[in-house]
Amino acid sequence: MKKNLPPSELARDSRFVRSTIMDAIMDPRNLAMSERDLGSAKLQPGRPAAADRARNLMHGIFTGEIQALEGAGRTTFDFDDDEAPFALKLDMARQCWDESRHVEISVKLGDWMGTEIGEFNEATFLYEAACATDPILRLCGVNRALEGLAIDVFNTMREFGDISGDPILEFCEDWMLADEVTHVKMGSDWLRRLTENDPERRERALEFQRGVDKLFSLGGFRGETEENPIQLARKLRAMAGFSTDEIDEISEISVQAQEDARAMSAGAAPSS
Amino acid sequence: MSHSISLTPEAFTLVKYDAAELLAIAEAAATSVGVPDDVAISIEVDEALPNPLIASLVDDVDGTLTCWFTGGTFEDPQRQAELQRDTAKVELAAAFLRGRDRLGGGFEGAPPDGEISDRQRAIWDVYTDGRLARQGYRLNQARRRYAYRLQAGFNDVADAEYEQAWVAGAMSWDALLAVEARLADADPRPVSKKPIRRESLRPS
Repeated sequence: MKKNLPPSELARDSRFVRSTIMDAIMDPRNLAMSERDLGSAKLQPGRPAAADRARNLMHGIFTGEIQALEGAGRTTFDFDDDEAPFALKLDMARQCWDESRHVEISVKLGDWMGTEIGEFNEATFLYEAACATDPILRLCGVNRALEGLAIDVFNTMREFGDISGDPILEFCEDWMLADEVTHVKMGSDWLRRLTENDPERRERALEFQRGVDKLFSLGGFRGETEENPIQLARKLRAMAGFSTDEIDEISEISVQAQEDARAMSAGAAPSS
Repeated sequence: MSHSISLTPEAFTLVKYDAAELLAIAEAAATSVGVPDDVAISIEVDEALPNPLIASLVDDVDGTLTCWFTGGTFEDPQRQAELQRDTAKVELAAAFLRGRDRLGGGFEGAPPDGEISDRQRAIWDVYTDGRLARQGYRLNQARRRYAYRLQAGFNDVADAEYEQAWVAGAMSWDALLAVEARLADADPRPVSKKPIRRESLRPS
């Protein structure tokens, strides 16, 4: 079997259509949107198009879970035991079991909300974060950045279920959220253990994580203001082992990502 | 064309929609849901608003059906900025059917779309989709049910009212208000006491 599978070779059937981050960032509608007062972007039941926004996000969670499964699965296979301890691979195998369950739950939530598999396009940037050739970078990208984002997303969706009185959504998101906290802790523990005597490697891994966190902030997708659909879940991130300084840093990265996206969007706009 | 239909913008610049194709779909939809030939239709598409920002408004303005849609309403969710023809057919037919309700289908006294509550709109949408489904339109009923439940509540009374509205052959604005009252009585969710500015995707 091939090691270090590139994103282009991920197995998908004909229901799935790929998109790229650049497609989204360079969309000429972004600039027009940014000039409008569309009210809060926070995902809440009383906002316009709330049901379709929630369905779209739920489908994003579904494809994210598939890619998280693929990322953790590749880590059990891509590295020899001298590169990644067997116990780390066991943790990744256990995580695969969790991610598989999350995929199934997400499919059923899609049914519940009226979303078909593949209805929305799929971006593979989550899996791309799981393609680093150093297992520590990969753990930082997947378990700390990606699973950290999952904490923020699941918490937002759980609150949406709570406010809207949807017991199915709230319950499912709460259970998946508990798993994500464990996954983040797993990543933090292995980062500490494997870089105990190698501060340079640890810094490289954390720098990689910052890059991935910026990517996952997606031009304002995540943050702490009314403009961010996904809210940074400070309390749950602290439970997962993030320090206050680390959470502050992610918040700052999110603001920066939003400004970068605005600048790129303005630069891409056709001159009149 | 048997209906007089105008489209704004005349040509799309932010999305890859063909205005002539959208007009042809609109004409077919107006005919299929029985909008009288002498009723003029005005369609405005706000192409800046992408999927999943799906929203529409339809009003009777001096006998003209005045319709407003976000561009995302007709967009293929798999292919950025491209038209999804089947969705456009359904969304246009739904808007025109509600427009026909306003013209003389029991909803003559209904306030403008921008003034009706989300819950009222959700009930009306179920009534509309049920009729379209019986006409042979392919609809995602689970999507409609979820959107309805968000506004009506996740409870047995709301579900029973949904079934009634879906199969209803005729409904009036007053009947809809009665449904809304029953839903409110059965909804255990707290009602906000503070007046909240009603948000709309349509620029004021």
